[in-house]
Amino acid sequence: MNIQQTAIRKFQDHLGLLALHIDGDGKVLAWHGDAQRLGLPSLQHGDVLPDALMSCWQAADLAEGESRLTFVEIDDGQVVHIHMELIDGQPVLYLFDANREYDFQQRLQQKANEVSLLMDEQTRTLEALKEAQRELELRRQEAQRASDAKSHFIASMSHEFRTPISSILGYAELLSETASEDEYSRAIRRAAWHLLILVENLLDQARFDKREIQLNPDTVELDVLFDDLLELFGLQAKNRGIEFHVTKPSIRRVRVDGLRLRQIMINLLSNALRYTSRGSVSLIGDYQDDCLTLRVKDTGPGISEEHRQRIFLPFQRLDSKTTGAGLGLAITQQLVSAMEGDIQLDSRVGEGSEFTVSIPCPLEEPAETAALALTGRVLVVDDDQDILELMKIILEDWGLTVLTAGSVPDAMRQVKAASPQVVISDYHLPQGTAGDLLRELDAGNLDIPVILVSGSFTSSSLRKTFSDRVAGFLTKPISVEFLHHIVSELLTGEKSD
Amino acid sequence: MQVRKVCLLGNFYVGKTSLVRRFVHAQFDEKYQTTVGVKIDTRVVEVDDQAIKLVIWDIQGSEDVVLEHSSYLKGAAGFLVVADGTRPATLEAADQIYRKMAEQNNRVPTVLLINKADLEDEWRISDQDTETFTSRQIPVFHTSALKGSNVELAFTTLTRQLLDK
Repeated sequence: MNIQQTAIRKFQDHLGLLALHIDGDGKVLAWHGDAQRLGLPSLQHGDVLPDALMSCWQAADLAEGESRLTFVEIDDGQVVHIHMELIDGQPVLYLFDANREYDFQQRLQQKANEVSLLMDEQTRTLEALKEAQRELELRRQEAQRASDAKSHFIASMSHEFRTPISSILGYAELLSETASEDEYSRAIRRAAWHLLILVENLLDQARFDKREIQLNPDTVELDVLFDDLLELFGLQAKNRGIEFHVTKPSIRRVRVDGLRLRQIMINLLSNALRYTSRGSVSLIGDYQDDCLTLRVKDTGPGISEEHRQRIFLPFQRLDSKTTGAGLGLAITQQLVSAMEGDIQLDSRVGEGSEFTVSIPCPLEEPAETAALALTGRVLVVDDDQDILELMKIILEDWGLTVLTAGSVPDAMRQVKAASPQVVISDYHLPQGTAGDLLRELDAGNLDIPVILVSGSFTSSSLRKTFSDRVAGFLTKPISVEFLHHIVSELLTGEKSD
Repeated sequence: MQVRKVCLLGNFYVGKTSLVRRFVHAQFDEKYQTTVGVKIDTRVVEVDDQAIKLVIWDIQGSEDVVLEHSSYLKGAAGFLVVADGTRPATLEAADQIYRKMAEQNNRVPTVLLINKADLEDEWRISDQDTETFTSRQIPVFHTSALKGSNVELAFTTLTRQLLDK
């Protein structure tokens, strides 16, 4: 072998080159190079090419004189590049060992594919996340719809409950003003107030959910309120062998939302009595620096530090043996807060608890009830016959001529026939609402002042809607004093304080 | 004996190499090994009392295999286009591959394999999605290289079509 042949041989070895000369049928005529290294150890002259190489040869496109296939894995896992051409019309296949290059390329490609798969996975996770967010939003909307339906239901119930309770309270008040007043009528009045407070507790929970609370400050006779509470809870305490002490504040009247004040006190006293099995419950009223303070003390089991954290949460009861919805303290705290007041708890386990509520409210001078007489025509519109009768008695007692109607068309007939100077209308009416009545009055250029009455907790939204057109708003049960105040102002055109 | 070249085409990680390994060696390897270039294997198949040697070209999965590796496809008598049932994008790629192949090779017998049937719970490809293939009279198989289900059937179905040619 000469130097040139040796150099070529070394170069072939370095490349791992194998040159195969074949005939037209794929039979091996001759070869040069290391056949064993490329996975063809038993190559013989006259052999037909192995299947893989034969298939490659058949795939060769020699139209341009040569053809190449890269990274072909043939027998025994050997990877080669194949270069095919015709030399003097004779097919020649050059096989180059591509194993090392393949390993490098394979690692690169493997990494690239794995990164791509990870990105796919990431995209899928993001899509799943977005889908979960969409699902969450749908659930939130469903929950909102359910909550709205609940609020709507409570609004309807509010109206339904308040109307008969207003009726009971109104007639009980009338009875208490007559000579025939007796313990029975007072008991009816107390029980009706209690029932109203229980309903209010439930309704308030819905209101606070929607951040809706409307306060109606009015003159509150503290004597009457404390006497009512003494009678309402006194018998209950006595029956359970518990002492019940009431200390009235030194002043007699304050200006505050009477219903809310009563609700707070009933909630606190109900709780104190519910949890006290022996000893006493005390209600102590005081008034100093324009602030009414109410202390409710009991000798019950006391409240542990742990329980103090959650007693103001709704639907919480300290033990499963007690009755009640668990709304009282939650509502009380919310009401006190709405009235810009404060509530404190001092309690020792085994000794008892003391709740102190402070509510800022101005003193109220005695009302000049002697000069109540009014003159004029008032139309009362309500679909509840008992309420109509009650209003008629009250308004006629003030000297007014009272017309009544049970629906919007009925009211319009009365307006046209008798020209009332003031209309007092319930909001919910058969065949429409007071809103329809207002529209019909406006359409007929009938500029009659209208006082709107509502038993529904949506009254705050009614106020927003009709504030420009309505002369006054009343919530059931109606404050007789406040009604007189508005009617008197409308009929005389004078503002009374 | 008749010899026919068939090519497996489709995106990477759809299981082409595993399908060939299952069909030729009745084996399965969990480990994913990307193919670079082409792996050539053979198996004799008997169909309708006729023996036919399939030279199977397992071609590197790529986005545009027809353009990038057109030299691998020359002389192919049939195609097995493969998609991954858990990745809808691989079916779109299979559709593109078929369209380009059809442009270059006229009506070469083809079957579609939706692989990874063992993960059917995670599939995001439905029968409705493969309607573009069935409407072209292309048989569709739900295969599992892991379990071997329908692998033999897919290859023999294609082989039968090759005999008819």
